[in-house]
Amino acid sequence: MQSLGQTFHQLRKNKNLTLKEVADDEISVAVISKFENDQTMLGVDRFLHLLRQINVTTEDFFYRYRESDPQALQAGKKFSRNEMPLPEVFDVLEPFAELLAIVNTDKKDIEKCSDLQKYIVRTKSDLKSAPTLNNRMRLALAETAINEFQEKSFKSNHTLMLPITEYLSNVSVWSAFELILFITTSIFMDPDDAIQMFDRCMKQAAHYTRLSDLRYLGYSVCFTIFSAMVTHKRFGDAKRALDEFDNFLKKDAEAQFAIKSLFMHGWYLYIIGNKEDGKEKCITVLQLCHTLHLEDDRSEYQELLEQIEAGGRMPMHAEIFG
Amino acid sequence: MSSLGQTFRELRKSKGLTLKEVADDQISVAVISKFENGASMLGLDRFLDLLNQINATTSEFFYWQTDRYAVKPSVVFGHSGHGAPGIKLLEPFYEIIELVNQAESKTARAKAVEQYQQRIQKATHEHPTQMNRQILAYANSSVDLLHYNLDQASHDILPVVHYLESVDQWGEFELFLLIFSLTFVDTDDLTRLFKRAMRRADWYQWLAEERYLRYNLCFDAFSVLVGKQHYDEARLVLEQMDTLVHSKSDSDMQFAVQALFMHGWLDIVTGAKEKGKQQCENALSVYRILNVSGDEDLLRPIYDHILKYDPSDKKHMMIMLTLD
Repeated sequence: MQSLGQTFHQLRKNKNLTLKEVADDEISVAVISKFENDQTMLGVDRFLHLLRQINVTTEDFFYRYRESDPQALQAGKKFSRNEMPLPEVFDVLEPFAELLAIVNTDKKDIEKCSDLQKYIVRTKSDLKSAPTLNNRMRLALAETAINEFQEKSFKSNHTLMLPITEYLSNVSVWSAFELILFITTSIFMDPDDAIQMFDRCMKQAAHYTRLSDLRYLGYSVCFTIFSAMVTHKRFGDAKRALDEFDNFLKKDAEAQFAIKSLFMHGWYLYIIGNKEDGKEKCITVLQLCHTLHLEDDRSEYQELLEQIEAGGRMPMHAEIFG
Repeated sequence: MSSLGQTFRELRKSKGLTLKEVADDQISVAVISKFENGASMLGLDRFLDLLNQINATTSEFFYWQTDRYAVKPSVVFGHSGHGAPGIKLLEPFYEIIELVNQAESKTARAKAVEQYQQRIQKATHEHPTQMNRQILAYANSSVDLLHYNLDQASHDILPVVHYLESVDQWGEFELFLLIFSLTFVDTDDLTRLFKRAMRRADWYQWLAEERYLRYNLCFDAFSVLVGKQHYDEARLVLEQMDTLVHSKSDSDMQFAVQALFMHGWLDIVTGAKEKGKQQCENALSVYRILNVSGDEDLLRPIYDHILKYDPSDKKHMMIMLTLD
């Protein structure tokens, strides 16, 4: 992995700038040179000043810095369905990487449970020596996952999940970490807890509309809660999640979410008994995908529609829109 | 804009974490506290460790700390479809674009830009930095354009073209600089830089604000090439757009609508009017069915304009794309 100084050196060279051209009365040639050679570390303020001198944004810089670390890139892939590297926000899931990898393998449930048992034993001893927040939450999630694979009741999940629900309810403004944690864990939560948390999250929705990573996570939260509430047959709560989804849509009117909303409305009408109108909306979505030559999206919606029509217990979708 | 330390404290507190929970053997409570109070600065490496301790990313941190995203997205080239970045580095270019777009009459516009041109000429003479030379080139080309002198504009923009060619790995700054300069550069330069940018911009598909840049670049390059009646080059750009829209990892409805519209647009201006109209109208109907405005503000005026298009009137398309 490249050091911070090396990354800076490469970016400066790439723009054909000499040390002299970058230095000024705030920062000397000698200091920059030492930073590039890893002989000294820069203060954050001076570092930001240097970036401006070479026309590089902080996003640019850290993107490249992160890109030079094969481990960081690998970490992102662990959570992604199609092996694509994920945006930087997913770095925050790193503490849960091992656990999520166990849960998401193709192994049989019994094997997963035995892997989880081992993980729990280890985490318990970690927790003893380092009673940190992340260790507490790791343990809670692992125990809930075992419970889920053994198909015990949702009720016992509620107790097991307490460390996570308590943490989430104490954070005043959720950032990417809390949003992603909520999306990945809400399907295990007791529906009352989940919906209460959802309300809190939506009260801060204004914070999410400006940074696009967070805005998409806002949509993901609504979709995940919608599908969880449908599964729990709490149609009123499902409708509220759908309304919040539409509220996001009013602000940025993005086509991909508008079409998702149309499909969710169809789904909702269908399950509350208005099958004809519901199906019609879903089919409009299929047709739109066809007009736009988006055949992959079309077949995904088609599959979902078939599941809805077949009835029975729907798989819950904890979906993160990239 | 709040200080680095203040922002850190707000983020830490919002997560309900105490100083003690954040400190470890690498960094003490006292050091963090001094940083938060502005009494001392942290080294960059320590600072990154601290962000990890509170589960925050660098993008998030700087999002809260700078007013970068608070900048009202400016409407570049009359489009509303683009999220324009509030990057400080690009401010001088925004200023010129606004002067070109905003004044009441054509003469008033030319006068305002010419005044800016003189100011930057003087500044460049005193401080001949790379940045000043590029801003000057940009101002010169803008003045040329206001006098419909396209050949001169493509000549005056050369310092920017040369700069872009000399930089090996492009960052945000270079990508936006190209997008802003598309109307000025000559068709050969445009095609070459476009290809280069598409390769470079690949790296940005997972950066929050930049992932759609490739689509924006295709749309803008396409509209400039069609405006200049270079249909073969425009077709190549459109092929790139199609590839992007249909790549599994990155497909996006909004740009599928744009691509459909662009096909219709190209058909209309190259003579297949009925087929083209059908495609444009299909694209626009998607937004009607979904009951959202989407890109209608961007596409509808272009559509109305294309319908009146007369291929013998060369100024017609350029006027719409640059001075609307």
